[in-house]
Amino acid sequence: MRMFLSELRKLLGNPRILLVIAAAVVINVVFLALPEFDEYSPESYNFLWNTINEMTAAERADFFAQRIADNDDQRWFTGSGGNEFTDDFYSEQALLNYVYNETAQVDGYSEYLLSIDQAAENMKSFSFFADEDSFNYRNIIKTREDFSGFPADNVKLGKSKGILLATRFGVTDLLLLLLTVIFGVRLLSSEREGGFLPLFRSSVNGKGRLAAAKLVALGMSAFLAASLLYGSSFLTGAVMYGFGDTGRAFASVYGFFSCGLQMSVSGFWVLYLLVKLLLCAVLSAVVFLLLSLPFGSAVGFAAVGGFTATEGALYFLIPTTSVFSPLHQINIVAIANSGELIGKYLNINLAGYPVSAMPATIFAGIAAAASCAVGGVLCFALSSERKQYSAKGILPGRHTNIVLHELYKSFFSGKGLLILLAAGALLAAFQNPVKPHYNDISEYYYYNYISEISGEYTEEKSAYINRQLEAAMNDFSDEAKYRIEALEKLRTHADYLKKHNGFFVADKGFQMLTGGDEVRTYDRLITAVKMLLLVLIVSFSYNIEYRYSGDMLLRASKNGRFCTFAAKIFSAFVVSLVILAMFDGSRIYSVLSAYGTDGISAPACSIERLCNYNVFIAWYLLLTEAGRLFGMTAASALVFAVTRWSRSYSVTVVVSAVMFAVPPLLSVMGYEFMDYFILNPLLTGNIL
Amino acid sequence: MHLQINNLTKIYGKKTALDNFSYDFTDGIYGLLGPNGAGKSTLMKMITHNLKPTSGEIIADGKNAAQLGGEYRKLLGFMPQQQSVYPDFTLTRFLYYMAGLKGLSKKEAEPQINSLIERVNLTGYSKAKLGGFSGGMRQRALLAQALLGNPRIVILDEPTAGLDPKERISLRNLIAETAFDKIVIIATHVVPDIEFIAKEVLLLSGGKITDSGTASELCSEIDGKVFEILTEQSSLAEIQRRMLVANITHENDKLCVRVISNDPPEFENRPVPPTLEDLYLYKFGE
Repeated sequence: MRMFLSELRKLLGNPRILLVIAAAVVINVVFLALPEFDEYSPESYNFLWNTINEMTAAERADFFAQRIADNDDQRWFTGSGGNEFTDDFYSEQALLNYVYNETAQVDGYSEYLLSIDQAAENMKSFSFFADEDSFNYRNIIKTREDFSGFPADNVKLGKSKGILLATRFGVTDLLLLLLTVIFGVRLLSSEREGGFLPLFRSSVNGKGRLAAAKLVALGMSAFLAASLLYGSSFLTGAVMYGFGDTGRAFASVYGFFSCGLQMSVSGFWVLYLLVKLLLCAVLSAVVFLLLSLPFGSAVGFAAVGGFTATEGALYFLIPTTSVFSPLHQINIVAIANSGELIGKYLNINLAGYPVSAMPATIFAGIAAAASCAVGGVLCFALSSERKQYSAKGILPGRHTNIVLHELYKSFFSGKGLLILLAAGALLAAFQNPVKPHYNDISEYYYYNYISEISGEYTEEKSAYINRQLEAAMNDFSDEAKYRIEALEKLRTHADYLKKHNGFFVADKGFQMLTGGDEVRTYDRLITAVKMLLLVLIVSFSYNIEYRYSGDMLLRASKNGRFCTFAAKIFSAFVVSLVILAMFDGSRIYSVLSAYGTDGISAPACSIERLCNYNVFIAWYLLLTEAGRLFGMTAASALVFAVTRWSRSYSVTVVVSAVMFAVPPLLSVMGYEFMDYFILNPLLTGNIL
Repeated sequence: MHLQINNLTKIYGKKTALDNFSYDFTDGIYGLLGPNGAGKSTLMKMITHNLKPTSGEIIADGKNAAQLGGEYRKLLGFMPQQQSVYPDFTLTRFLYYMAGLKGLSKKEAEPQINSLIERVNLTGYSKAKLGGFSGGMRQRALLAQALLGNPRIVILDEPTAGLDPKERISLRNLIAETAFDKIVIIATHVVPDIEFIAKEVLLLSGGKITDSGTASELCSEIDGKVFEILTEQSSLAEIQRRMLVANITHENDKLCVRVISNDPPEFENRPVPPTLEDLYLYKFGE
């Protein structure tokens, strides 16, 4: 018990750690609450709900019918109209539509239950589903059985936004992961770096019992952090919107009509808390196991990053209906997504049999937490001091070039080469070659027409478009409408090109390389991965002097100051170059191989989004990559500053990852202003 | 070479680590002796530009070291107390790296490195990683890097820590051999390491020089104050209470106690010549 308390004191008795927890709670609340004012304020939402709360279903229908404007309503163009709940027509319409959908779900719940029954009957009649040994057939039958006898009477009207706000916020889970890693760093990595482990291992209780004490302290601290984080989300939701009648069925909550459990809103909260408790246990056990591995902090961090990325990729890439759905659902991201896990009905395909996702995920989570905890304790207790460095050096190093020595530190001493090779192998395994793809038939025609007239804008080409459009309009075949759509878009584009002196360019591939909407998420996720790799690698070479007191030798030597700093930054430049070549180089090659390089020497303004750029497309691509390279090098200079401040590899990695790898992830989650955080405009590229 | 230190002071908050330290160093070996917290490490860090002084200046051959910057550091060879430097580097890579830091070209460094590896008795280990070295081997590797580039000022912080007696003697001889055209400043707790090779010994306490001179000059201060007492076990507590005990050895069934006392002990004794260790105890023992 005393050991546990002393381990707990290392975390919760440390003012820095308490400050980090407090900062995380503040960030959570700010990020949670701020977007709620984007379209309309919580007061407007609450005011509207107070207005309709006592109405009958018919009165409500009438209320919304009178206020929600049709698409062809003139007010959409003028932006003005009678606003009762907000100051702006568009905000008013967004609010009315949202609340209407909330009420419509409740009003239509009985029909939804009937539709499940009906859908089962209908689908059984399709030959594909009628195979009684198939997962689909069994799934339909199970769904009907699970929902049979569901009462619809407790599905009542009530505000949903507070519940959704408090439970559907991925940033909170991300913050919890970060805090758990910080706790793990404090309890395991920092002590390993400080050389305390041999001291612990030589004492009576320094193995298994100490490991168990550390694990429990980590779990308790994670639970405390989770209580504060999710508690702050709960309070924010309650204060801003309230939860309505908590005795009503949870299926009343907007978006959760498919809830497969007959529980009230308060019952949901209890389950939600228990699942978050499980999340803490799993996170703590996994982080403990990975940071206890006897391979040094760099490998530990890479393992935590790799584990999180793999789980995320499996969760987001595998469809729930796939035969691989167990990998989607028996997954830490599924546990983190607790609201969906509890509130949405889902069966996973387990060897052809439908199994309820929630109990399967919870059972797997408990098993994972237990096995990782045992594994972590054994790993910590049984690992002995590795006889490192007995091997001879890989390269002779008979030169006095400081840059080359710094590169050796980055690639060999810090295992940067191994980390990059592992990342390259994962990239090769997961990144499928780009294949030409069009969103619809009209897009296919659009690019076909462009290929025919590619090159500089001329009046002849404009006339050609008009002739083709005329011909398509006189064609009454089914596919003519797609050609008309494509030609009308091309007509508009031709007018733009005429005005901007642009070229006709089949820019589908270039759109992918210059930050088109389709690749927004991809660009940011890859930026996060690239920055994580850079931080992992350069942090080691920046910290090695502080770790081994080499800084005293450097400061006492002629070239140990500015020259060494410059050599370190140059080494980071080389690491950045390799990372960019791996990720962006392969991406550019893949996209250009799929869509071709025709038009690469056309002006960048030929792509409408790049109307302000007066360079060739090739130059634009080069400038973007140069910007990324510069951004990564500048980021590594900031990592150096963090190193000087912290003098600890683990702290440098965590702080730098928060500075450079987390913001792109937040941008993907909808916080687009994060695109402008520190060096992100350069790192992500295609933003300014 | 002439290294002049003028009124060097370092203050951390309310604590004065070094207080108006002034001294002129010329070629030769200097020993810095003093208890923990006396200011030895602070002085060494300031001489090696690892720490900025609160006030005072360091003059190297008439020029201000702070203004000389890199040119001054080119004159320095520094062996820090900490041993764990770049465990993943081989001895060769480490020495070439340090040569690069000292501004040496490969052509200049190569013969020096080969010679130093031999002189510090690490031949055969040049391709082995420093992480696999024993404490003594690391000390010798650090000494080799300190001597690399033929520095004119060599600062050695606890150079013999972790060495066995044979290695200590060998290292001491190496330092003595190389010091004829250099200023070598050694901070140590192992008094015999400097007793026989130091041109001058500086005694530091509370950030100030309390005494300085050759070992024999300093020892003369306690001439006639060091005795050996042959006594029974039963009297030991009484001796320890009344006098500074430097050493206790067993002689047959009696104890031979070496004591430092201003007055001749009342026990049966014989006066012995003082050593620097006796002086250290006399100055800094309670």
